[in-house]
Amino acid sequence: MKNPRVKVSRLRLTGKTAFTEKLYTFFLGRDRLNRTDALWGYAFSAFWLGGFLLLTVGPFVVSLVMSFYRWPGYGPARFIGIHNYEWIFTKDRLFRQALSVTARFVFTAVPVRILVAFVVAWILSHKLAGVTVLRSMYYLPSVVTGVAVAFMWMYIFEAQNGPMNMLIRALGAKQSVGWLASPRWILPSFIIMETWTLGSSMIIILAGLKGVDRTLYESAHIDGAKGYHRLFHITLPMISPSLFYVFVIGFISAFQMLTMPLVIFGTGYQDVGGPMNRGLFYSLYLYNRAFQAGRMGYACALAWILFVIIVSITAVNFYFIGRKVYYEG
Amino acid sequence: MKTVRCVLISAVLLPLLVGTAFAGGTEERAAPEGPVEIEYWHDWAPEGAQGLVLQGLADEFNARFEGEIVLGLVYMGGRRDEKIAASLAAGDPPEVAWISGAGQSYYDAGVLISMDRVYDDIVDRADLLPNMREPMQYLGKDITLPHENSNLAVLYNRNLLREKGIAFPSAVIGEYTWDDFIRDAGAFTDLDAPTYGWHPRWATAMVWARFWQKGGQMFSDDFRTNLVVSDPEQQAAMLGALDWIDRTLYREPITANDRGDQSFGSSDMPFEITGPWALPRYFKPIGPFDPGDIGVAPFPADNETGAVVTYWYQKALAIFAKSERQEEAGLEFIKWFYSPEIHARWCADAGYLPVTRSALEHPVWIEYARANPWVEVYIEQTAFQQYPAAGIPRGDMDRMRDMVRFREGTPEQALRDYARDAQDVLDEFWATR
Amino acid sequence: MLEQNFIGMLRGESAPWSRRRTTSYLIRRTVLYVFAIGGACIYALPLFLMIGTSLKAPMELYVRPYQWFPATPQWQNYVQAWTAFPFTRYLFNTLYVTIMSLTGAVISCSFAAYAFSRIRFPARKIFFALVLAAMMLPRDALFIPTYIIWWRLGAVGTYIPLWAPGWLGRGLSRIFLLRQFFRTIPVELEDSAKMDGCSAFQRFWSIIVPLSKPAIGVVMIFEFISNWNSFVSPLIYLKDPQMYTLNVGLNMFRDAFMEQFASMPNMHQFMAIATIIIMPVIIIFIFLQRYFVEGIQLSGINR
Repeated sequence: MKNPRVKVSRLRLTGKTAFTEKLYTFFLGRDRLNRTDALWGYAFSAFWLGGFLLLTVGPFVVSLVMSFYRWPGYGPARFIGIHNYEWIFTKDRLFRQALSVTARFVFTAVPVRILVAFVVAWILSHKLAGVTVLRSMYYLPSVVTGVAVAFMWMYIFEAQNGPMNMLIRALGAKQSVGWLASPRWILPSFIIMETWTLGSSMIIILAGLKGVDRTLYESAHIDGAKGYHRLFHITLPMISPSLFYVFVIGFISAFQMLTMPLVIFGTGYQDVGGPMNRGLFYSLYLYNRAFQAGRMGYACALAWILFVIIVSITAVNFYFIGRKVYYEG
Repeated sequence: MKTVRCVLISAVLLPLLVGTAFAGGTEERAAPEGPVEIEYWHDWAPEGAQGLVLQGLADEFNARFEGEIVLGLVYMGGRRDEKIAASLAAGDPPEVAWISGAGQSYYDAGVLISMDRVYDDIVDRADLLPNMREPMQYLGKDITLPHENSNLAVLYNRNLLREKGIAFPSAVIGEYTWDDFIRDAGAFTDLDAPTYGWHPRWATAMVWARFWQKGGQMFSDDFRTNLVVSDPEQQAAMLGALDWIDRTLYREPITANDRGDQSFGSSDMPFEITGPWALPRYFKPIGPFDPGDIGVAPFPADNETGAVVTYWYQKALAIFAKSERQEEAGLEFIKWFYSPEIHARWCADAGYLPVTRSALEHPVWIEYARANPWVEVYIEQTAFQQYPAAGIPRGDMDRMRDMVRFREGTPEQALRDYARDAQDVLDEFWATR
Repeated sequence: MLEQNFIGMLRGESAPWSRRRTTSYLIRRTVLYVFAIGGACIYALPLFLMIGTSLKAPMELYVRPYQWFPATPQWQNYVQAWTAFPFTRYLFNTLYVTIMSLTGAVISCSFAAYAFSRIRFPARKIFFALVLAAMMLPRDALFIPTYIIWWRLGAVGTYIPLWAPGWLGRGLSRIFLLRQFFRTIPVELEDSAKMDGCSAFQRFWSIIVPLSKPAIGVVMIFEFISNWNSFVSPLIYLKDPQMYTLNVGLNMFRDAFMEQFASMPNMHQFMAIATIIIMPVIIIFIFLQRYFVEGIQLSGINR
């Protein structure tokens, strides 16, 4: 093991005094031979650490501070205490509207999407010819996002003679549906859009399904278990980590959805969130307050509230559902 | 390992250098010598009728002031609030920008230049038409310049009306009422076909106008104490306006993608209520119509009160504080832009109404008015136009309208919600100001 | 898999639920195929409609019955739409931002991943726990305070806020993915290099990087797509229309017509630009889809 030729360390990172030694131990570890490496560890993390401080910790601090100010985004800011929060919780009806729109969307779209993703993944987990082509056809929609896709949906959901209305009329509907232009149909439209991008959930669930031990099914079959027994007692518990993961991530991202409603509703020529504000997603409201209404401080307070909501929902997910997840081994 | 290091360092530095080369372009504007570069931010699509006119004027200005001032036009792409806010945040706002409303928030943030400078020696106060200046005031102070004048009137397709045997609307202000209009437009409406006589596309503006016609007044005079819609009379006025929405809904209530505009342009729909800016688009060479095809009637009057009030889109020119040199150049441009001839030409070509007397009396405008007699209707209506003060509770107004048109609630309910929400918005505005 | 099946067949023991090729088995297979193919067609349909619409004449946009594909493809739609706004300029702007961000992301994420997977230092566990925790945080919702920070740093109105996050390791899922991949590389390779006196950076550069090209490729693909598609940041940070990216340009193109007509009369042109914008992504996806799937399975996220 001992090789005299090896130059163990170019730097001698040992403390001369007890205090510097303690400092070194704290930051670079007890093992003196490894301290150069440890220094490299910090160097390698530097990019990320800088970003973490600037773009993750920084915004939290900034939004907390700014939420006590009235500031249009330029010019001087004025300290107004907790007025922003007070107003949000006592008076702001748009805030409540935004919360209810977002909650309705999240609690319907995410489960629907995961259900469909599960069905698709289940179908694709069978040995079918051309399964890779099928898989990419399902996955493709989730790599194309942004304004282009928002326009595509605006065309498909056109209120009178759009393709979607042609379709439902062909299926026997008497009247065309307003879709994105009608308060009642905004939520269903967004659920359809969200379900279209199930690709990554599907892939993760598919990986989970493929990982299920086949012998479990065989022994279940020998025990005479029916199909749905297999589903509820083997498949679902075995892929519950994947499902849970998809669920948590789905919630977090659905709460923050911005691009679609911003392109579709946030044009400034109509009400903030579309007809009757039924498309007032929380992030869209944030955007409106910050950049269109000139209330940066107010928007910061809203951002903090959203942050608390998402984190607590994630925590609840972990606490109540995460406990039921079956982790093998 | 030297090569590795070289590759790594160049991988970091090269994009940085390229980036600064790309991104550093804007800083050159503050250069002390050479012509001053100023920017005029507007919201007319560059290829549209108004955008082309403005570009022509900008070219003319640049030719005239060659070597001294360079005027750049920047199209805000429908996101004027965001774009102006971002430029102010970056510390580099445009010298002049076309905005909606009077620009109270800019005034509050102290980013506008004092209008005294403008009114003392650039634009003559007395030259502005009497009701043009007041909407650009805030707390008793001038804060921005009125940019152009416009109001709403009825456009009708003569050929279609003749075919149906319907008399043309009277051109005398106050004679043509909403009952007449609803009757005429209703004659063309067949919900099964579906064809429509008219589509209330600018519905929020119409609701305001109807509200005023019914004798309503949204804000107290100081724009501070309370919304007066809690007053029974005002309520009745608003309910009248909302009821009107109900009655004029000839089309399915569809907003974002509807094509009402096209229908009038393609002679599918006989009526359109719009401002003078739309006319360049309908007449040849851009549009399909000869001047004889379209008639312009005044905005319909209320059939009960007989009141004639029409809506004014309150558009202003905001002048932002910059370096002394740039402000001077900006004011130079404004002086040129508001000179009688240029202002008359801009309004005539782009389809607006002048805000100054001198432009109205300028030969260019007189000639234009002779060639386009319909302009007379809009000019006459100038005396009857109103604007929504400050425009702050605008979104709430949209919501009230939608609640009625999508049949999500009764007009009473819509009004109650609106009064409450708008009052909150006003309270919040004053509480934190 | 195949081999196992083959051996099983030799032994005469196929999977219990597909033992006999009976009628019911065939029906099951048919139903599966019908659902799989039918669903895939539905999923591909919107993109097909988009491309079909981009080739229509204006008159064909809203006709009844619906026209799936134009009678004569109007290729000039693409040229007209592309030249109506300075889209070529926007394309180069987008490429610039994307490539800058991509370069940075590869460097910063692989550095961090290497530190978290291979180097022993006391803060490692804390740092990695922070990465995992931050992945669960709603960071997109903080675009307003982030804007304030960039404003404070004087970067609003430049491209810096668009590509700097890539350099600062904002793609946490990418760090996670690379870490998972680096962990699969045998430690022995590095130990021997360490014995020879290689520094951590030399080990990273000469051992880890050559071995993890596929994973770095995945990171590049994801980073490219997320930057190519990004809309909100360019919209709020860029001030000068000359600096717009494709997505913002397309949005402005639409808004120009909303203002004028309050409607979308030239949907075919919007769709043409939209098709051009999504084409690179689709092409990349078609050729490199294996990496996508592997990347997602490795890290769990595609953003």
